[in-house]
Amino acid sequence: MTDTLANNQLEMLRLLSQAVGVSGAEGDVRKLIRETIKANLSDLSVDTMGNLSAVLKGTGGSVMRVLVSAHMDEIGFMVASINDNGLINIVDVGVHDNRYTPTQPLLVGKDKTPGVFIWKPIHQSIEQQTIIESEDMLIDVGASDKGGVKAKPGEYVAFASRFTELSPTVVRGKAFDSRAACIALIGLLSGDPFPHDLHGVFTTQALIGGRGAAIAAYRAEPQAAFSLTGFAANDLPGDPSLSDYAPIIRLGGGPVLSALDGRTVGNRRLLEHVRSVAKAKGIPIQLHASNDIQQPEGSRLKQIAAGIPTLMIGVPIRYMGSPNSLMNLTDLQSLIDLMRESLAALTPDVLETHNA
Amino acid sequence: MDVKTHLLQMSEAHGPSGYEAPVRELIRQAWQPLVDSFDVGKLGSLIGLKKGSGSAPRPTIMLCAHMDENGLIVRQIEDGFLRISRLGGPDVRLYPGLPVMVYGRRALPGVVGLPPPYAVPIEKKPNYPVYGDLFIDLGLPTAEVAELVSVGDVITMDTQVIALQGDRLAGKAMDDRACVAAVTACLDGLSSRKHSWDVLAVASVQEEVGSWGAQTEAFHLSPDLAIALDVTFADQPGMDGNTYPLGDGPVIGLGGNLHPALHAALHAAADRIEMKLADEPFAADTGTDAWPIQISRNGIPTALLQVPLRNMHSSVETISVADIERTGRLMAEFIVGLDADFLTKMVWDS
Repeated sequence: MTDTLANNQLEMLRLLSQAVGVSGAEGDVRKLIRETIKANLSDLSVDTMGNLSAVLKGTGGSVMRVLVSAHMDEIGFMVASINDNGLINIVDVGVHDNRYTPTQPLLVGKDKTPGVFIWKPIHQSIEQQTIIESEDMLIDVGASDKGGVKAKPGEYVAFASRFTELSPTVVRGKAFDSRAACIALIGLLSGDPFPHDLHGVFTTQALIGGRGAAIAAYRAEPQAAFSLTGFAANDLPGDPSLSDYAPIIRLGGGPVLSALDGRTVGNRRLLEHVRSVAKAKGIPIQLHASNDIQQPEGSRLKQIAAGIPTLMIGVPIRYMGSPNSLMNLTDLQSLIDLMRESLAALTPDVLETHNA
Repeated sequence: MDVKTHLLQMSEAHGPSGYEAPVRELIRQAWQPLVDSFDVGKLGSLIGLKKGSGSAPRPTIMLCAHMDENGLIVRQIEDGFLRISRLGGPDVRLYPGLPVMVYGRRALPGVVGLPPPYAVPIEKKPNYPVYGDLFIDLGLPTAEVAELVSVGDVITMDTQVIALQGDRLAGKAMDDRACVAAVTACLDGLSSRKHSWDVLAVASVQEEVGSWGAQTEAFHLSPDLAIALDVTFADQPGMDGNTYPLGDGPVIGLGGNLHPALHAALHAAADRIEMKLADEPFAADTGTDAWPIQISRNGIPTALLQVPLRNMHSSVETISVADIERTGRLMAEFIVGLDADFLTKMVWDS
């Protein structure tokens, strides 16, 4: 085990974080991942929802099929219409925290034309100082009229964030919930095989309902699933008088295991298994039990077919709704280590142990 | 001279009010081949003198554009997070999620954070966010932050210029470095033309906190005429009052802060080169360097030229490069037309 991410993984994280892949248009991300893993994995496929699946054949020690998913998509916008003055109306794709939206640089449409939001300046709106909602914002790409805008309604708009290393362990950028998960899954698929087959699925449309995972899981028919993702870290200054203030998830505190996420209960047997592996291997973990936000993919996976025991596990991320969020690279490396050890030790009897 | 590259470099340089040195040095490099000598004012404003061809003592005109930008300053350090005060008048709503640079013992990149939405009863806050809600996260351990950062360290937006279609640029500090670029364009235009007056090009400091650089340089230089340059509101949906199209040329101020005869003379210069020059009326204070310059010493006839800009006081202030070039060309045309008798025609009303 290593403490820090290898250089090639860090470079891949940079590429993936800066790549554009709004829910429903994940092609660039898929291409990047495919190019990276195709040399080692012969069995790659893309299904009707655009999921990229790879199978790492087991050593034959177990007949189980285990699915590990990492979603490729990020939140963004879609072009709704173009005004006569060349300004673009948009609608949200995924759930936005608009506190972070107004000044973020954008890439508009298939051509990835640079754009910025425009809104009423402070000099005229200070008295109505409040969060600016997406419907009140228009995108300016520098066009003077409707004909000057290349993007058509239905094309996507993504945030353009520069991936930046704040320190040797903390990075700033966008889409870490999906792209760090992709790095972890690439790591698992690129290493030594497990006793069982590993079905790795890079999924689409996780942020608009876990849509890609639905069919990927149906196709793979796994006996257990792990959904890799990100969890909002809340080790931040705040108002101690508020009941929700108490920090639960800390940046640098280790991978996060989800006992409860919205209405998604983590499978207790998988959770206890991973927890005991973490303890045995000395990997720090954090437990997430929150009603605040629901990530759809884990919820989707558990209800596929007759039901799949599912655990969501991921990295802590500060300012998860922001295109300039923070992630700790040691947490990501620990996630890879913990998943590798947990998969290696996963046997059918783990799922049959009724200790919960 | 490439106005676009010059402006791009200035926009990405860091120089909040009172800490303008890095920008001053960039401007000095750009003006070096265009002026005869430099001076730096006691508060840090840069003055470039371009001598005229008339016989000494020559009358002088000051062109004044401010080089400082809105910023933040460390107010308190709380468990490794930085609480902030504003330095100037940036729009607080535009800070969350913004990459910033903190000038501690070394330059430290960070991000402006807020507590998660569920930990903020937003519906109970008619005004949200306010500066007290924000903090800066450097992603560093608490002890390292304590060692590297001190109360009073300054902070700027750490963003790059975005080149939009056509000749539009979006970035920080276009207010007012777009106008510094217009002064550079004017000096460049004058380098191939004969003018009898001395030109004092001033990149002023501390405009965003009270126009202190312009006020002190007007006294120090005691020019016969002054043109202050700043940005004005460009057309965009939802705006009340006067706004001006991007790319349609400079806008000249009109009202008690500005000398009527100088205003008329600039219009005449615009007519000579068939340039559009829209009027923007101001009831009193223009909110620019023109306000203190006008009443320095025994009074300085002052005009205000403005470049239209969208998203004022944000990291994506948007301008059209053509407006900057035209502003520079207009000033050069006006200065070339200044003769020894010009001041005798400068009556407030006749």
